[in-house]
Amino acid sequence: MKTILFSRPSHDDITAYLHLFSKHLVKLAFDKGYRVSDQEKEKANKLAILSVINKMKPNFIMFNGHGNSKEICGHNDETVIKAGKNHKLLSSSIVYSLSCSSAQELGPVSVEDGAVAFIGYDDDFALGTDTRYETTPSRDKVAKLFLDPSNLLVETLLKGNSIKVAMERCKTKMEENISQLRTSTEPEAADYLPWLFYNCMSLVAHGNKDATI
Amino acid sequence: MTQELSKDEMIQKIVIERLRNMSTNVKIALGSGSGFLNREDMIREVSGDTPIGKKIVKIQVAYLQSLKKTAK
Repeated sequence: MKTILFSRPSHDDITAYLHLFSKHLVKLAFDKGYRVSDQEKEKANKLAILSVINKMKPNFIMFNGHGNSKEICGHNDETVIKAGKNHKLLSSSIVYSLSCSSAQELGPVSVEDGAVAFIGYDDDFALGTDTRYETTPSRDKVAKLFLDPSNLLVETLLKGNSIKVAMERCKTKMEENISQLRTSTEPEAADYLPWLFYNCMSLVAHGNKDATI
Repeated sequence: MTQELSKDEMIQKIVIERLRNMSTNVKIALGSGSGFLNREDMIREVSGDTPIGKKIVKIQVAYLQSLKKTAK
């Protein structure tokens, strides 16, 4: 049975949004018959995640959380995977990382050392929000515009499609959302455009783009 | 006598003016270290020429350049 690992910390405002908006992906993975390990909140720590990776050798790993060009972090910004230290643990997995810039250095070196593919952003991932929904983030349509494309990428992979197809659908969705913002009559819509546009430009995939989970 | 601005200073001014016109309802999280930034936060970062400020300028300029390409 194929295995999916989700790392979903929720220790600050940003990771809380990512945690909330990725919840349905865990359910989808279960519904699709995968063996699922959802390391959420304080369970998204280095010890727990590396233990799952070592024991279960996940076919697909989704990392929410912070990071930089060389590392992916988990709960309380603890480094979980770092280029040059333990990136080889990602071998044989398809990885999708929302962690900022992780596709810049960690991505290529992971693929060189055996990861099937590494999908991520080679610059900072921007997340736009509407302050009027700060206390009810699940109703924040702006955050949805930023996170729906990312979620669609994962959904597409979970449904058995290739990385190439998942990337195409994600970018198409981003472009649709950009178009929606451009034509919106809401006065603040245009303010979000540069950030969503940059996410679209920064999304990259290293490795075998024909691979499926 | 007016002082001529360098290209970078001119770009910084343009970005700050764009940010001044942003809605106060907008917050953007950019990278790990910044948290959510509102309009005033972004203006402060750009004015201070901080790493986050430089990133904001980069993103705004990339977007403006894309509009120029679209217009051609």
